[in-house]
Amino acid sequence: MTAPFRDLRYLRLPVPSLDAAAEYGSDVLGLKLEDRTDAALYFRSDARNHALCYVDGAGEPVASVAVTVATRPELDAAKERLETAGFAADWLDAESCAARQIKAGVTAAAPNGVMVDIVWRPMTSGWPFHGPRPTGIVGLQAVQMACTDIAANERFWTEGIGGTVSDWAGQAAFINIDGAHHRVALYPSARDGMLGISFGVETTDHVMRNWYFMQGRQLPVVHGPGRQPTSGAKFVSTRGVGDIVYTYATPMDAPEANGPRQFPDEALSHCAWGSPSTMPEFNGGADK
Amino acid sequence: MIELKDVVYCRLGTTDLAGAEWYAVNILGLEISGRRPGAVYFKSDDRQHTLCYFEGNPEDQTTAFEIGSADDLNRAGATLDSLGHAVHYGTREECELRHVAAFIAFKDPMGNQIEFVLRPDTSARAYHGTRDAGITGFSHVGLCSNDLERDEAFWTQVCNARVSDRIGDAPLMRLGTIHHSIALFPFHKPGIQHINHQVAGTDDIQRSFNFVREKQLTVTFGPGRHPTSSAEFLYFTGPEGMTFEYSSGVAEIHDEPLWRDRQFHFAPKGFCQWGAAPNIAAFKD
Repeated sequence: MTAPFRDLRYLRLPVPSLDAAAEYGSDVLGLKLEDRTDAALYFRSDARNHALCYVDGAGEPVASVAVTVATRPELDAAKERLETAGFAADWLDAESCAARQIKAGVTAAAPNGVMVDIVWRPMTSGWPFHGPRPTGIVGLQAVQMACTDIAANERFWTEGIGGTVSDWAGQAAFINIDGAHHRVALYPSARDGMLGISFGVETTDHVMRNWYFMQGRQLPVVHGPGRQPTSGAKFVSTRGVGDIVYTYATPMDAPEANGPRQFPDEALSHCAWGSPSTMPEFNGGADK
Repeated sequence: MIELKDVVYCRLGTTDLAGAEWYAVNILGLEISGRRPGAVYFKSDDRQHTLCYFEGNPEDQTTAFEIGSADDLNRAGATLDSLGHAVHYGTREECELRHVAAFIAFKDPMGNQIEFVLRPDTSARAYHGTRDAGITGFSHVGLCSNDLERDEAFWTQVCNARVSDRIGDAPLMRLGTIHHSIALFPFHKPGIQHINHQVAGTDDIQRSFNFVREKQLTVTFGPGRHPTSSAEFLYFTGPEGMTFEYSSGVAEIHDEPLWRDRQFHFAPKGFCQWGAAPNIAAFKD
C-alpha cells in the first residue's frame, strides 16, 4: 500500500506574544526565521519554507497541522473521504492559502479541536536550512496531540484522514501517514489540543548535547533523554512557547512489517531508558 | 621492556565487606564467582574474577596486569629490581587467592600497588549478572599520579604501554588495540582513581543513569561521550568512595604505526563532547 500523503508539512501554533516566540524559535529551538508578517512568524527546520508557524493568538486562536498531497484530485478525494466518515471539511480561501504558503487546501477540525489542513503545493525554499546553533536538526519529524476522547481522534486520523496505526502504547496511537513510523501521535489526556512537536536530529550525540543545552539554559526537561520503544527514536523534550512540548529526536525505525503492536499502558512504553516525565501523557496509566 | 597483555583484576580493601558485596551485585551488576574467608570475588566476563573485595584498609588497592610467560615474569622482576622497586614474589598461597599461576607485586613510582600475573584463570561458566546492566567486561583502570610525566615514562618506557591521547598531562594508554587499558589522573596520593566496565550499548548507559539516579546514588559525571576514545560513559560513586564507570563504544587502534596521540583540554570539553561537566576531583583543576 502506498502512503496517502507526501509528508507532515507544518504546525501553525497560536502564541500570546510573537516577539517572545521569535526569540524562542531562534535562540532556544535553533530554527531559522524565514519570513515574518504582522500576524505570523515562519520558522524553517529543513527544505520546507516553513515547518513551524507561530501565529498571533488574538487573531487565530486555534492550532493547525498540515499534511501534503501530491495532486489536486487528491484534495477532492481527501475532502470526500472526510465527509464520508462524518467529518465536515472546507476549502481554504485564498487568504488562508497565502498565509499557509500553499497553492490550495482543505481543512477539517479534528475531535480534539486542532484544525487539520490537507495541502497541495506547499512552498519549498531554494536555500539550504542553516540554524543559528548546531542542534543537528534535519527536519520536522512529528507532532503530538492531547485528546480527551482518544477513540474519536484515532477514528478521525484513520477513517477520516486515511492514516494507519503503527503501534499503540496503552490507548496512545502512533499514526503513519507517509510511510514513516508516525508523524502524528495521539495521547489520552485530561485536555484537548496540541501537545507537542518533534524535530528530527542526526544522531544520539545531538539529542544529548541538546539535553545539556536545556540544562545550561535552565529550560524545563519534561521527558528524557530517552528512547521510544515504539518508534525507536531517542529523544529529549522541553516545554516552551505556546505551552507545548518541544522534542529533539533521532530517526525512527520503520513501522513493524507485521502490523501494529500493543505496548502496555505504562511509562516504560514511552521511554525504554526509564527517564521520568513531568507530563502525565508520557507516564501511561490513563486506562486505570 | 616489560610486555603487558591486559589489565586483569582489581583488589579493593573494605571495612564493610557485606555492604561492598551488596553494591557489587545489586548496583554494579557483577556476579559473585567465589568466596574465601574475608574476601568475595566478582566476575564480569569470561575471566574467573575481575574484582575482589577483601576485609581490610580501604586504601589497600591493587591493580593486576597479565604477563605472557614465566620467563617474561622473571625478567620483569629483575628489571624492576634493578630500577630499585622492592619486588615481592607471590607465594603459592597468595597465588591461589588470586587464581593465578604466579605473580610479582611491587609499587609503581607513584606508590600504586601493582601485580604482574601469569596465567590468570579463565572460567567456562559465562558471566550472568542478576541486574541486567549490559556488562560485557572489565576494561580499564585509572590510577592516581602526582607526577604524570614520571609515571607516564614508567608505563611507556619500562613497560609496553603506548599513549593513545592526553587530557592535559593525563595520558590514556593502550596495551593492546583498545584505546586505553590504563590511564593516569592527577591526585595527591596513590590508589585506583576509577574502575571501568564496558557495557553493550547506549541503551545500557542511559538505563543505568536512570537506575543509579533512582537509587539516589551519586552520578559524578555523565551521561556523556569522551572525545578521546569516542566511548559513551557514566561515572558514579561506589563503596569507600570508589569511582566506577560504565562505558560503551571505546575506539580500537589497529593501525599502530600510523596512530598519532592527540592533545585534549584538561577541562570539561576534553572529557565530554556532549556538554557534561565532571564532578570528580581528579578530572578537575
